[in-house]
Amino acid sequence: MAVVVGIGTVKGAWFARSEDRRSWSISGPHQRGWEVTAFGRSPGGDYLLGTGSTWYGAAIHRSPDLEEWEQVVAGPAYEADGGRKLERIWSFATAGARIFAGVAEAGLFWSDDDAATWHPVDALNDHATRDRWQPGLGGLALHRIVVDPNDPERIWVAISAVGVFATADGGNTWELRNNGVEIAAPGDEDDIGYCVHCIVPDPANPDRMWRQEHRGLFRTTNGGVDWERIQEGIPGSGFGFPIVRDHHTGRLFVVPLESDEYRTPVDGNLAVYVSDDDGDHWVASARGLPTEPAYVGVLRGAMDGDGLPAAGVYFGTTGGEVYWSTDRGESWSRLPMTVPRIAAVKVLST
Amino acid sequence: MADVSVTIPTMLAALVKGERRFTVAGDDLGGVVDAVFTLHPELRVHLLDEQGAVRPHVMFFHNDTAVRSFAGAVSEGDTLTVLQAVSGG
Repeated sequence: MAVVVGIGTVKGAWFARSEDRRSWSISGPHQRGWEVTAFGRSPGGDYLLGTGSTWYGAAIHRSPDLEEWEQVVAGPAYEADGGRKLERIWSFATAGARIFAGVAEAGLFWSDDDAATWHPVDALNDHATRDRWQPGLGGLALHRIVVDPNDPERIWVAISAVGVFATADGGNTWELRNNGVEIAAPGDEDDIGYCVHCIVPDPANPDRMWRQEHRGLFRTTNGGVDWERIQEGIPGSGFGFPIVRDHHTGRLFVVPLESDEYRTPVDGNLAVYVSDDDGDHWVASARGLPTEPAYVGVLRGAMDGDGLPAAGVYFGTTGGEVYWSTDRGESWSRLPMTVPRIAAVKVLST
Repeated sequence: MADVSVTIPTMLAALVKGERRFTVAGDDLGGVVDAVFTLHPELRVHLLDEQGAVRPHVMFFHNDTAVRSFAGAVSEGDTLTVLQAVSGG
């Protein structure tokens, strides 16, 4: 079966397909002119993508074949009298027949009818801390959703610049899970203001989770109750956006940037850093990446793995280049195209 | 009821099978806009925000007059044009 990788940019989506993960065919642009910020699959198997626009707001679209797309009319929406606006669709996650969407302004929505009609998770969207949530540079976004495959009542979400929340009862109650992480956006109280950029679990045991923060790299072994810093070997401050884990080998992948001020690779050396010991130590993996200065970043949703043997990893840059590796990140190749600024890279089928 | 010719931007037309121009009928401008959303429900979220207001960077022209509310009368053969505002450069 072909590997299909979705590439979402500020001006549309492209799809890269390969039967052998060596030669790729590329189609696009799809949803031309729209920001494509997220990809997913519905419980029934339809492809999903999230679009946004400075002019026209955000929506979910679905397709059975990546060719013909139709907009989901009853998509996520805030109440008319609430004052909140749906700005972007940032992520999808499934839990059996249920699918969740994380959005900006920060909120979580669910659907039990294969992504046709969507409903808010009120206990999170109206959390006791909600009035104090403030946006980071990238907006007030709920951008990551982790569901325990062994117990779908257990869910973690990441909201920048607020923090990680967890529920153990399917979303009826939510607790903050940020102990051990430094606050990035101080306020009058220290319960929120944690600028989490990305989280990734061990799917076999999501109590083990890794976290790319504004303030560095962290991991937890107890479901986010406690976090510890893990960035030996990482250049710069530990600032970065995506974090990916190859579930066969446990290898972790990040793309460090110099700092929150500069948001470019240290000295222009674009490199993926990998760890084979759960984040204790990190080393650069840059063979095949530009040898000339490359002052581009990689956004939080713009890196993904395919989970296949000889792990495939794919990432897109703010300069519109897509790099791929099918040897666990030992070497990298570039897709033969340059597209607009990339917000999302997602493996959609394998 | 008056038939009104509606034109929408290319990016939005792509959501409704490329139909950039179409005709709907209404008793007044509000009825025309409601008819647009009945014909193409995909468009509502892109033209109006959650509070029902015209999105800040979307322009509606009833014939040659810019409108941001839909209380006016319509006549047979009127036009309603939706434009993407150039605000912001």
